[in-house]
Amino acid sequence: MAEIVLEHVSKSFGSTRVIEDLSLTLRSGAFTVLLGPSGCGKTTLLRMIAGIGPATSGRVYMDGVDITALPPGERNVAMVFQSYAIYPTMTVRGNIEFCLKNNKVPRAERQRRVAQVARTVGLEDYLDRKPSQLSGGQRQRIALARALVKEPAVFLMDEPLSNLDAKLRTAMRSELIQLHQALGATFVYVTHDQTESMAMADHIVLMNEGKILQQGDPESIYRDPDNIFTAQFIGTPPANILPLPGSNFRLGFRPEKVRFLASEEALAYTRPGTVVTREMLGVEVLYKVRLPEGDVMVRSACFQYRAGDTVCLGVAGEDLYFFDENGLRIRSGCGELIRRLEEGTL
Amino acid sequence: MNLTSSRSVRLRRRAMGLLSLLFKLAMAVFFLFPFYWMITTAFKTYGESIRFPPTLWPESFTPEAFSDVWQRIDIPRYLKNSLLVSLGVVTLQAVFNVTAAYGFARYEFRGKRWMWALVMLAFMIPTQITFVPVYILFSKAKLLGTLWPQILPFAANAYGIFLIRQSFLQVPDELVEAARMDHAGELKILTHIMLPMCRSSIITAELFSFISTWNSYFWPLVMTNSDKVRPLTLAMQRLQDAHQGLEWPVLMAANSLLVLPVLLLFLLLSRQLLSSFGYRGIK
Repeated sequence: MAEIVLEHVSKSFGSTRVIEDLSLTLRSGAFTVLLGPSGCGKTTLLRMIAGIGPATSGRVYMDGVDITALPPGERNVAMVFQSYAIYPTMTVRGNIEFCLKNNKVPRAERQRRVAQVARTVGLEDYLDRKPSQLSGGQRQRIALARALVKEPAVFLMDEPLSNLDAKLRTAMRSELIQLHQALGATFVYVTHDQTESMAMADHIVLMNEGKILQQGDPESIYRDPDNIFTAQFIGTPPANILPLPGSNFRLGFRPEKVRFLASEEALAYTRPGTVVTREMLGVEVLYKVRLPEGDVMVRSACFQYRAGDTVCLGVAGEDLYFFDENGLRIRSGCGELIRRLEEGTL
Repeated sequence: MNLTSSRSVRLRRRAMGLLSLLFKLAMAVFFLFPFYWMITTAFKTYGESIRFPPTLWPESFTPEAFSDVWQRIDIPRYLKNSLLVSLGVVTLQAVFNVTAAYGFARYEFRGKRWMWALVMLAFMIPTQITFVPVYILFSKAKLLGTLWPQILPFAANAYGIFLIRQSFLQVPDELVEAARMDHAGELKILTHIMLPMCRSSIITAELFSFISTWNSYFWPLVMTNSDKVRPLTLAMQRLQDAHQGLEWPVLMAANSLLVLPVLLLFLLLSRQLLSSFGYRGIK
């Protein structure tokens, strides 16, 4: 367990600035997910913590100790790479115990720790095989075992599940959550998959273009987006964003907050529309509906509508988000906006 | 209808397989026949070796030619020279080629591009034009009576550096980073990660060097001035100067002995050779 603090870190590759003056605290023992589209700088941050891609400027602290200049091998962190980075010429055992050997851990203890970790990840029958003889999922486990055996204070994971098929990914997801609960170590997990982040994180740090746009627990990030980017990056499908006529503001709402109205009910936002597509999801149906201001997605338990049907949609005032001309959430004066919507003066 | 078409497809596939087998056999015969001819001639008598039409298999299987070779040239001495020179070259190249290739593949340093251009230039210069300056160099260094003129000029080799560098470049950066996170030092990364992964390329480069040194004829001819330092290839050549014309069995026996070590090495390392020309990464 350890707390990581990044203080005013920047990173440039040549003349390209990837991260500029970013500060972030990663809580000790938490499962923190660095989330964002590719190229947003999340992996760069992870590599700074690992020590394999040092910051151009700024400092990195671990439990209050400045580790900015500490070599990666001495940091008490372990990393699972996206490509797994398994040593192909070594056996599974060789891969797992390589760092123990480098750290001069005595033979008996080494064997005990390798056996224990192999049992944890389910590789005990494969210890003397070469990685090339194992499946993708098993190789992923080697990478995980290699990190586990170090018993580090901090686990860094760079999209560790992205090379697995969908079924295995879901299974590994819950295994990683359990592992985190069992170890209580600090996990820092990088992904571009918002579903994965929502499922696993205690704390999500959403990034774009080298900046942190919002951080918080999954629920607050989902329910209370600070900006249009967050509202649209999180959620499947993402929040609907529509222009607010007569102003520079924009309006947003989650697809599941939309109601089909039989008559003109008194909801803050009501619009007539036409169903464009209908996707059956099982429990719910996903509709794409054409409104005067643009297309919106609707998630609903009402199954009866078909493509071409004319419908009336409504969203309650408390489910509406308002964003200013810079895409930032308007937090005060929303009551006034809702009242004007209800009156029809907006 | 369907049945007959599937049968015709099968027939065609069979025919193609047979054709490809025949072609492979033809190629094998094409390449193996000279060796066969060399070895069988070595066991013939002189009379049989020059008879027309030639015999495919020796009538009287006699090892006489081999004992002849043994008597006429001091094999242990020349063999020792050949081995010392070839192994010396291979050993030095293992050190210099690998370290140079590693440096070019993994580090950034000043003048790197310029130095790499120099290596590529060395790649393109034919050996023949270096004969005279190198000879003068060793003559001035008073090394002409030793084995060094046959070893030192080949201590590093542009082709080897190129081949090994390419294979170092294929090792993903993430592997090296993982090793650094596993607290491995630079030397350990080289010996435990890079070298094992590039093993077949290194062996290939080394094998080519061994063979070209072992077979070299003209360079030692120019660079040696006494039998004390001459290799096996030059000694074998001397068998041709006999007065009674070319004694084919003796020549072939000598050549059989000469290529034997190379053949053995090839057989031993053929798997490494093949894999060095294929992709050998794992995801």
